[in-house]
Amino acid sequence: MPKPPPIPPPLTPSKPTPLPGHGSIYTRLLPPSQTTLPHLHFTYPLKLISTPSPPSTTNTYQTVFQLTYGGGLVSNDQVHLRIVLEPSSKLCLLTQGSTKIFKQKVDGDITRQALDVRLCQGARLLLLPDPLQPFEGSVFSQVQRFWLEDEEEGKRGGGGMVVLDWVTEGRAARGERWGLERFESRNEVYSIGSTRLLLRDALVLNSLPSTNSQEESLCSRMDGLVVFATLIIRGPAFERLATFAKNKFSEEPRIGGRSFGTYDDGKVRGDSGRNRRDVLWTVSEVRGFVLVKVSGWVLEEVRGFLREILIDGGDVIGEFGEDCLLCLR
Amino acid sequence: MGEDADNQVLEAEIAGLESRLRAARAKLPSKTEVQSVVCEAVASPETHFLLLLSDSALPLGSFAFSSGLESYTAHRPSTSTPRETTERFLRLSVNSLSHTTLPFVLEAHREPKAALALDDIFDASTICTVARRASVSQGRALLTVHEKSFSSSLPPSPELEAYRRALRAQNVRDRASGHFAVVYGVLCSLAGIGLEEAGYLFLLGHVKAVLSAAVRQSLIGPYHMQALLAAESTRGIMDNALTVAKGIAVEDAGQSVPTLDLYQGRHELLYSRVFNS
Repeated sequence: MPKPPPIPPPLTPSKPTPLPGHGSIYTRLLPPSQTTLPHLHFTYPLKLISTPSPPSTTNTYQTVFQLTYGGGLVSNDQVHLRIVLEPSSKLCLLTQGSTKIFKQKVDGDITRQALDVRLCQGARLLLLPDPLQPFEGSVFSQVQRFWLEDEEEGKRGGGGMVVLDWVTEGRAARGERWGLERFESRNEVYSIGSTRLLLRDALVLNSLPSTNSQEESLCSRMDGLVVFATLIIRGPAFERLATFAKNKFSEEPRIGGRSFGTYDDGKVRGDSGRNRRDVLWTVSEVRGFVLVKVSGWVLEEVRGFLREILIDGGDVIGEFGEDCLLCLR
Repeated sequence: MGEDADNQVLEAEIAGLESRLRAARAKLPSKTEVQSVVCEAVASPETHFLLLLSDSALPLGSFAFSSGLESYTAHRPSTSTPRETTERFLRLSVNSLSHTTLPFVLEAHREPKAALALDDIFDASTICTVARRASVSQGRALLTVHEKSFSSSLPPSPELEAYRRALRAQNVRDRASGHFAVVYGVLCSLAGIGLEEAGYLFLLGHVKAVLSAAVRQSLIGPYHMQALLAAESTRGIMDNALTVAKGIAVEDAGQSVPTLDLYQGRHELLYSRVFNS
C-alpha cells in the first residue's frame, strides 16, 4: 500500500526545538500589503538572516537567507526548516553561494536537508537557492515538501510558487566530476485539503558499485553535462512566467536529422538579440505545474539561461524585484 | 420384472461398447501418450498468459514508441558506432526504468486494490510529457485488451473494472490516467503470474520495444537485435534492474538517469520523427 501522506507544518509556531539544524519561519501579511516575520527561529548548524524588501516597494515581501556555517553541510548534518506563509504573504528564500556537501566521514552517515513549506491562500513563495554542490564521496538526501491551500475547492487566492532546485558536478576546479557517492533530491507538492500528492519530482544519483560490471560510471552517464536544474512553477501569480516558458520551448529550433544544432529555418527569434544559450532544456506541463528542466556543459550558460527566463517571464521580478536573482548573477 | 430386464440389456450394451472403446484405444497407444504430454505443457494458465503478454502481436501499439532512443541519437554526435549507441542507450534506459517505473509494476502486482492510488502517484511522479503520453497510451490499450480479449478467460477483476470506470470519471480529481506500469502489474497479478515474472516480463517488453525501434531506425539489424535479446549481458542488466526495483518503494522512485528526461522531453523538437516517443 502507498504510505500515508506526511503532515504539513502547523499554522501556529510550535515551541522551538533545541534540536540542531532546526528552523522555522512564519510570514504574515499586515494589511493592506506589508509582509512581516512574526516568527523566525533557528539552531546551529542552520542560520537564517532576514531582510525586509526595499522601502520603495509598495507590495512588500520578506527575504530570508538560509546559511550554513562554512558554506556547506558536513557529513551527517541534519537541517530541517519549516515555513508557513500565512494568507497572501510573500517570502523569498535565498542562499549565499552554493551549498557544499562534504564527503561522508562515517559509513552509514547521511547528510540530510528537509524543507516543509505551507502556503496558505494567496501566499507567494520564491525559492531561488544557489546550486547544491556535492563533493566527491558525499552522501546527501534532500526532501522539499510544499503544501498548497489554494488547491481546495473554490479557493483561488492568486498565490503561487516558483522553486528552483539544482545540482552541479562538484569541485570542478579539483577535477571532481560527479564523484558523489549518493545524491537524492525530491520536490513534493501536496494539497492541504485532500492530502493528495500533486507532484513529485525526484532525482536519484547513485555511484555505488552495482553487481553489474558493465555499468558505466556516474560521470560517464552524464554525457559531459555539469549541472541539472529544475524550475517548478505553479499558481496564478506566476502564470505569465509559465506561459512564457512554454512558448519559448515551442519556439525552439527544430532538431534536424542527426546533426544536433542545425536549424531548418532562418526565423528571427524573440530573444531580443541575445545569443542563444548553449543549454539542453525542456518544458513539461504536468497537473497544473509547469516544469523547466535545464542542463548544460557550462554552469554559466545554465545560470544565464535561467536568469533570462525569470526576467523575461516577468512575474518574478514584478513580485520580488531584481535582487531576488542573486544566485543567477 | 420388465424394468430389470431392460436394465440388464442396457448394462450389457454399455459393457460391450466400453470393451470396444478400450480395444480401439489400445490400437493407438503411442498417440494417446503424446496427447497427454502436450496437455500437461499447456496446463498452466499462468505460463499461457505469460506468453500472451510477451507476444509482440499484443495490440498495445508499443512499437510506436522508442522510449527516447530517437531523440537520444538525434542529440548525441555520433562518436560511437550505431551498435554501441544502441547498447548504451539500452543500458541507460533499463537503469532509468528500474528506478522510476518498475517499482510501480511490482507494487501494483502486490496490491491490485491500490491500483487507483498508484495510478495517481505515478501520474504525479512522471514529469516528462513524452513519457507520460507513451505510458497512458499503452496502459489504456492494455485495459482494452483485458476488457475485449482476456476478461472472458480470467477471473472477474473488480480492480480493473473500477480502473476502467475511473478513466471516464466526471470529477477531474477522481479521474485515472491509465498508466501502463500500474495496469500491467494488476493484470499480471490477475493472470496468476508471479511477482518476479511480472517484473521480468515488463522489462523484456521494454527491451524488445527499444531494440525494435533501433532496428527500424537502422541502428542495428534484426539478427543483431535477436543476438542482443539472447545475450547474457542483456539478461544481466535485466536481473540487476529487477533486484534494484524490488528494493524501491513507490514513494522512493526517482529519475536515476536525468539525461534521458532531457533527451526524451526534447523529442517534440525533432524536425522529422518516426516514433511517438
